[in-house]
Order: sequence, then C-alpha cells, then structure tokens
Amino acid sequence: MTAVGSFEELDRAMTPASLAIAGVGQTGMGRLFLSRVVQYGFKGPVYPLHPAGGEALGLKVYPNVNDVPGPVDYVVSCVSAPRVPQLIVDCATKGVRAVCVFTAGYSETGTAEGRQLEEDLVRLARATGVRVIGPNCMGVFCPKAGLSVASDAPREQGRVGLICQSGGNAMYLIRAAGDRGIRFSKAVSYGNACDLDETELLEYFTQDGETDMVAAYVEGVKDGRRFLGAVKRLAAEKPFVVLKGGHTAAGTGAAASHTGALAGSDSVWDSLLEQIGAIRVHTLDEMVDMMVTFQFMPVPGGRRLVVFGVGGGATVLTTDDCSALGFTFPPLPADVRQELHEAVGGDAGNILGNPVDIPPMVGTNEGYQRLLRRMLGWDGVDLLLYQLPFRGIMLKVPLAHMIFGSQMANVVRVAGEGIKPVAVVIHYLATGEGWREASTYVRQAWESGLPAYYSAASAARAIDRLLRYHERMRTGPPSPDG
Amino acid sequence: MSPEHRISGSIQVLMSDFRSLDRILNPRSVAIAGVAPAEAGEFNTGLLFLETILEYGFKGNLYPLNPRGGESLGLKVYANIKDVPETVDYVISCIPARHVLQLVRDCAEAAVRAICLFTAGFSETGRQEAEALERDVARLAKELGVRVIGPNCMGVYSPSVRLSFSVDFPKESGPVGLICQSGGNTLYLVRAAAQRGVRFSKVVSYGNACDMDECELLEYFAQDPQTEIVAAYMEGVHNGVRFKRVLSELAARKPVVVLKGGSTEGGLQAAASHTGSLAGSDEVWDALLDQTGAVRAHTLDELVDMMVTFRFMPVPAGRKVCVFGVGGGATVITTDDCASSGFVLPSLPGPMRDELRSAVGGDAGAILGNPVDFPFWLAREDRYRHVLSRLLDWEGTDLMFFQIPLRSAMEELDGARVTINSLLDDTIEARGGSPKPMAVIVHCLATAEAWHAASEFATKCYEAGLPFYYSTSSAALAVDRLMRSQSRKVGVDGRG
Repeated sequence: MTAVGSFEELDRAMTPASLAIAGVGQTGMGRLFLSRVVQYGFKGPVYPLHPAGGEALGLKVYPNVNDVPGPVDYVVSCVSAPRVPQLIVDCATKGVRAVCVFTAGYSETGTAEGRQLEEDLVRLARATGVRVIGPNCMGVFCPKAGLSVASDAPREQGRVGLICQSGGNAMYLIRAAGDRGIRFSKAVSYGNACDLDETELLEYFTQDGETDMVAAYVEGVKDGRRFLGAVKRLAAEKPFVVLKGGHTAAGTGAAASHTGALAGSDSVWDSLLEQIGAIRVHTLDEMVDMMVTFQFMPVPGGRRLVVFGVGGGATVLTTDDCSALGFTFPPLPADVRQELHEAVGGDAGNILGNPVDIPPMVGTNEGYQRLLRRMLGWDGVDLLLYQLPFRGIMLKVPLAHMIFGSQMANVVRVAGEGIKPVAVVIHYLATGEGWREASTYVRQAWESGLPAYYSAASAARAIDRLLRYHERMRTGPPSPDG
Repeated sequence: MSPEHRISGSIQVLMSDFRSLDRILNPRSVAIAGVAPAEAGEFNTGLLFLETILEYGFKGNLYPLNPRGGESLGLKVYANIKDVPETVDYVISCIPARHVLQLVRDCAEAAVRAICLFTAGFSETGRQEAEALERDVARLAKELGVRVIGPNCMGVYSPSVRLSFSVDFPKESGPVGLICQSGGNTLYLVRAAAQRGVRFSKVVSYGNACDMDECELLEYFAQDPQTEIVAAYMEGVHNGVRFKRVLSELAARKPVVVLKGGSTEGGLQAAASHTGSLAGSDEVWDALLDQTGAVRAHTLDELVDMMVTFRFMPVPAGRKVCVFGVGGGATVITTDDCASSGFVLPSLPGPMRDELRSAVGGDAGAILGNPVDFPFWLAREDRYRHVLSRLLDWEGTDLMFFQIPLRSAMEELDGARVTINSLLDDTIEARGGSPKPMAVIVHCLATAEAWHAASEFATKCYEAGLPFYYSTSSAALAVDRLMRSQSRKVGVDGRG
C-alpha cells in the first residue's frame, strides 16, 4: 500500500522553493545536476551537499542537509545506493518532504540485492514520512519554480502535465513538444515508482488547477485497480493520453529491467484504457502530436476536409493519409473552382478540385488570402489541412524560403480569423537544412495558435483521435465513480 | 506497348531497345525550349532549368531555345531546335502546351531522340481538349520517331553525364534506379536517400507517361548493369497485364520497392488530377505487388528506408536480434518495435552478462541482458569496443540493432554531437570486418537543430557501409521487409 499524500504536500514537491543536491563532488552526476539546475535558473536557493564541503560553481557546499541554514523543500539524491538511507534519515530530521532519488541500482537490476535495497527504501520513506520520487529517475520539471535538469527546456509555464517512467523519454517529450509550442505545468520522471507512483501523480494532476491535459509514458503499474480508478477520474475531467512502453512480450521484459515495472498484456491495456476514456498512442511522436492537437486544434464539426497546398505528389499522398483515417473530400463547388481557376490562370500543373494543389508563387498575398478565406467560408467543409512540402521543388533554399515564408504568413493570417479549424503540415524536409527551415514555419504556426505537424499521416491520425475522443465524450463521458 | 506498335516513319530506328533508351537517359547534348533571357528578370522555369543544369555541371553541350534569340547566362539562345549546330539527344520543353505539337515536329526534323515535357496542362486537368492534346502529342511523336517523357514531369537525373534538375543532387552515381510519377516526390526521395548514402544510376520523373511509361522504364532498369536496386513511386499504370509481367521479371532479378500514390478513394481522385492516372484499387495493388515479388512501401520514408536497407544491409540469416544501445526508455521502445516486426531477442548468456557488468562496474542504471542498455560513459573506451565486438561475435544472434537517442536528458546538443561522433567512431572501429548485419539508429531527435546534427552521423555510418535510420520502428520494419522479400526469392528459386 502506498501512502497517499495530500494535494498540498505533493504540490510543494512539484513546485519547490528551495533545493538541495546530495552527492556534488568535483565530477560526476551530482555536479552535472547542479550545473544544469543553475543554468536553467532555479528561482530559490540551491544547496549542494557533499561530506567534503568546499564550493561548487560558486556555491557553498554543505556536508549535510542539516547544515543548510534555511528550509529545503526538495532534495535530489546523486549519492550511491548504500548511502541513500542515511540521506533519507537526515532529510526527515531537516523536515524535507520530498527526495528525488536519481540514484539507480534498485529493483530494475533484477538482482536480489537491488530489490532488497528498494524495499528498505520504501520502508524508510514510510517510517519517516519523507516522500520518495524514483529511484532511478530525473524527478520534477517545473518551469514555474525554475526547476529543470535540462538547461535547454522551455522556460515558460504551460498547461500540459506529464508523467514519465523514463527520464530520457521525458526530456525527449519536453523538447520535441516544446519545439511545437507545447509548454508544461509540471512534468515528473518517476522511475521505479517505489513510493510516489503513477496513480498518485495522476490524482495530483486531476486536481491541479494549472493543468488542462495530461500525458503519461508508463511501463507498468503496481496496482492496476487503483490506477484505472485514477485514470477514470482524470479522463472524466481532462484529456489523458497514454503511451505504454513494453507492450510486446520482449518489451515487457525490457521494461522490468528498466524500471522494475510489472506490466500487463497489451490487449488488456488497450481495452481497459479505451473504456475509461483515455487516449492510447503508440509512439513518443504520436504523444507529442496529441499534445499539439489538444492544445491548438479547435474541435472540427465533422470530417469533411479540404486539403490545400503545394505539389502534386505531396497532395496525392496527403489525400491518401487523410482518406485512410476516414476524412472525406467534398468536391469543390463550381463557383469556388472557377475562382481558383482564375486566380492561378489555368489548370496546367495544378489540382483545382478538392484536394487543391496550386503553385506557391501565384498571385498576390491578398489574392492568396482571399482563396483561403473562400475555402474556409464554404459551408461544405469542417476543416482545412494546409500542406507545404519544404522543398519539393527545384528552387534553392533562399528563394524557396522567401516564397514559402510569405505563403505561411498568409495561411497564419487567415487561419487566425477563426473561420474553421486549420492544421498545418510542414513535410518533405529531407535534409538538415530542410529541418532548420521547417522549424521556422512550425514556430510561425504555433505562435499564432495553429497546430503544426511534420507529416500528413501524423496530422490525420491525431485529428482523428481528437474527433473520436469528443465523439466518445458526447455519447457519455465515463462517470468518475462508475 | 510492344515494339511493332511503334511505327517508325522516319530515319529513327526502333526505340524500344536498351541502347536507345540508355542514350536518352545519358544524353550527350541537351536543349531547353522556353528560356527567357536572364536579364529580363522574370520568373521562368526554362531559365531555372538552364541555371540548374549549368550549375550542376552537365558534361555535354547545352542549348537554350527561344524564338527571340539573344543570349542567356552566357549561352547563345537559338530561335529553333533546327538551328542548333549539332544533333541534340534530349530536349526539355518549358513552353506552353499549345506549342508542344510544333516542338515535336521541329525536334523530329532535327533528329532529336527525346523530349521531356515539363509542360503541364494535359490529361491531368481532366479537360477533354487537354486529354486530346496529350493523345495527339503521343501519336505525332510516335509517328515521327521522337520519344516523349511526361508530360507534366521533371525528366531525367543522370549523375554519370551530370544531368540534374536540382543542384543539390549527389554528383556521384550509385546502384539505385528510381522512377517517379511526381516531380516533387522525386526531389524529396533523392535528397532524403542521398543523406543516408544512397546514390543513383538514373532517376526518371515521368509524369503523365503518355509515351515512355513505367513498363518501359522498369524493363530498362532490369537490363541496366549500373542498376542493382529499383524503386518506384507510381500513381497508376496504363497496362496492368504488361506491368505485372515486367515487374515480375524485374523482381526476379533485382530488389524492387514500390510506393503506390492514390491508394485510397480520395487519393485516387487526386492522382487522376495530378498525372491523369487510371489507378486500380488498393487491394488490387497489394495482390499484384505480392504476386510479382516487389516490396510495397506505404510512405516516401518507407521507400527511402528500403533503398537504404537493400543498399547497405546484408540479409540476416535469421530473426534473432541483439538490441544494443543507450537509454532505458529508448531501449524498451526499441524492443517493442523489434518484437512487433517479428524479431526475437535471445537472452544473453551468463558469461557475457558478467563481462558487461564488469565493464560498467555494476547493474545500476543499465540493462545487461538482451536488450542491452549500456551506459558507455561508465566504461573505459577499450572496454566499450571489447563489449561491442563480443556482442557482434555472439553466435546466438543473426543481427544487431544499435540504437542511440541523440541525447540523454541532461546533455546539451553540442556535447551530444561530440559524444555520438566518438561513439560511432568506436563502434565502426570495433565492428571492423564483422560480417554480422548491423543497423544503426540515431533517434529521439526532438528539435530541428538535432535533425541538422544527425546528418553528420548518417554520413559517418554510410561511409562505413552501415544502414542508418532515424527511428527504431522504421529500421525494424525495413529489415523485416528485406528478410521477407529474400525468403520469398529463395523459395521461388528453389534454393530452400
């Protein structure tokens, strides 16, 4: 049985005002932790701890947490596993409420010693009342408190909550989603979950007024019934997206060695999660796509889609991707078609139906905007997908950049008028240069509140999931108690 | 269409034979119809073609054409193809559709071998007059013995004669032949595959295929000694029976991978408007490709993955895989991806496990079974190389998936670049001449800057002859397809 803390108690661990790092030597992980936390800009005092004392990065190093003059909300343990129990005891004396045990070497090793160490750790946590995050984890990311183990994580606070059983995957998600405009309220890498576990974290995010949607990468749960109860209550209030790592038999074995997780079979997960209103995804990138979609995509009224953009082949494949997921393509009304025809001066090399493929360098900006408005104003459609292959044309990068940049400005401007939901797909990147270019358009999109995707297939899949989620919610959200 | 249908009313010989086509795909002289004078400052695709071909460094003579004459980019502009002082192999048409019939006549008189019609405005518009015009062009060309590529296409990229429609295409030739019914997709495929070491013998963007069609091109690639692997993006075929025969013959000789654009109802409509293709249903394509032994890809990236895999991955003897790399979560996901594609992970023998443990000084923060999550920063360099070569020598496995997430949680991008570069150096060195097939995956790139950095890793890997992927699921899918296509071939050949 896990001890269940109050919301306030957890909230203090999630948004600490003071921080100590145990195990800050001349080199090693403790020192790295310290440098990252300082670089990112923790808002309160940071206290490095090491028996040798001295200084680290200009900060006084305290031999023991009890030597620290002020209060300490949150301690990161980078000491070796045998030294962790003493640290917990010291923290209890100091009145520290939460320790993030970055230290590994517990149940994930699969050894009897490792399991024993973890059991001892749990027992000690219970006895002292110190909450343990981990072991074998990166702990809390909280922009509001200025707490991050990665110096390049976004500094702004957002409204997405994330729990992640892998520290590497957590940072991937934060970086990749950050690149597409997603900002987090809090994210927690929680490792082996020996004390503070997925269920309690989901309960926290259910209550947290700073969080509007929640994403989870979970390798296994300790208590399935409690977990499902928490998911049900969460899903009734906020969109909840979950990725199960270790969903194949081999992956389950790997998950056990990674975080000591006991993982259920794939089909069990699938049916249970669907039933209680969670959205299951299968890759990290799908998870990022769902964050982007919930954050930026207004819910379309239906599945009638206009694909609008550049490039014949790209248009054909985009249409396939959307069609495969159940979107339909109502034919363009004759008058709209005629307008398009006039705007581009003929049908040679263009596709003037639905989908629409017209060259990127046609007409004036006003003319282009007028066409987009015409598409969005047509009451036969529910949403528009704008696709831009950068750069499936023979132009060199600078010229392509100029042309596509002004095109994106047109799209952003018209989409911002809010006539209908618009999704932006920037694809065909091919090279490092292409990615660099694309990221400027993606930024242009999300800064104006538009969802941007790196492939048409991923956009279609995410919007399909959004629609299905809302269809389900309309037919009756899962009752929190049922 | 068979050779006897090709009525040759002129001095031209029958063009269906390999050598004629080979000359068209390796032209010694090129003319471009519809080149505006550079100083006019107007946007003009003829001028863009001219600029591109000049800058890429075409080896033969290049002749801009425009009735106005004059000069463009330092070259004399000829009023008509007939005024050009030599016999031109290949003419690129950037003039409006209504002038194309006259161009065909002029080209025939000038004994031009082939016209690439970049010009659009034919059957893809769905307009009857435009469809009729396309038929007329095809008929006239046939009558006069001029071959037509397109219309509505980019034509030929042939590195050996330095003919290209994009300046950033590789200058070196390679063993992959590509036909592609979309110009934009051709540009993407060549660029994306080139990043990962694929080089091409010839590439043809062939558009509406009114004369030279997919069958003829595939027959050419079947015979072409420079081509060992064939890839195709097609939106439809004109003659299904012939296509099936040609594809079967080709697939029996060389690996072929096909992406069918317009595989859904919506996409079919779009394909018809894009290249005027009559496309069959998705199920028909599935069955057809399966029967011929071609590999079907479902996305452009899958098509690239298959080019990379056929080019760089030896066929593993079985499905027993060792997953080796860095990062707990990444290792779990990689294992899922491999298992989903039908690979199995035998457990690491005890003694090897002990060796790994002693190399990193314990189990903490590592996964020391199979999969292996190996915190290489804890191991001395020589121990890393030792462990890797032991795992490669492990007889219980048939191949290795080597996966590295671009950076760990706390790592900064610049640091990660240095780390991965040196890790890849060590890996390549430790691998030495090991015959064990190995796929390298650098993934979890997250940001545009990371993608930019990843291209240097790709280069390092392909230069060492290793297949390189950006995700573990795509690597697993591609190697699975490689193995299935191979086992099928062995079955057909009766070699068991």
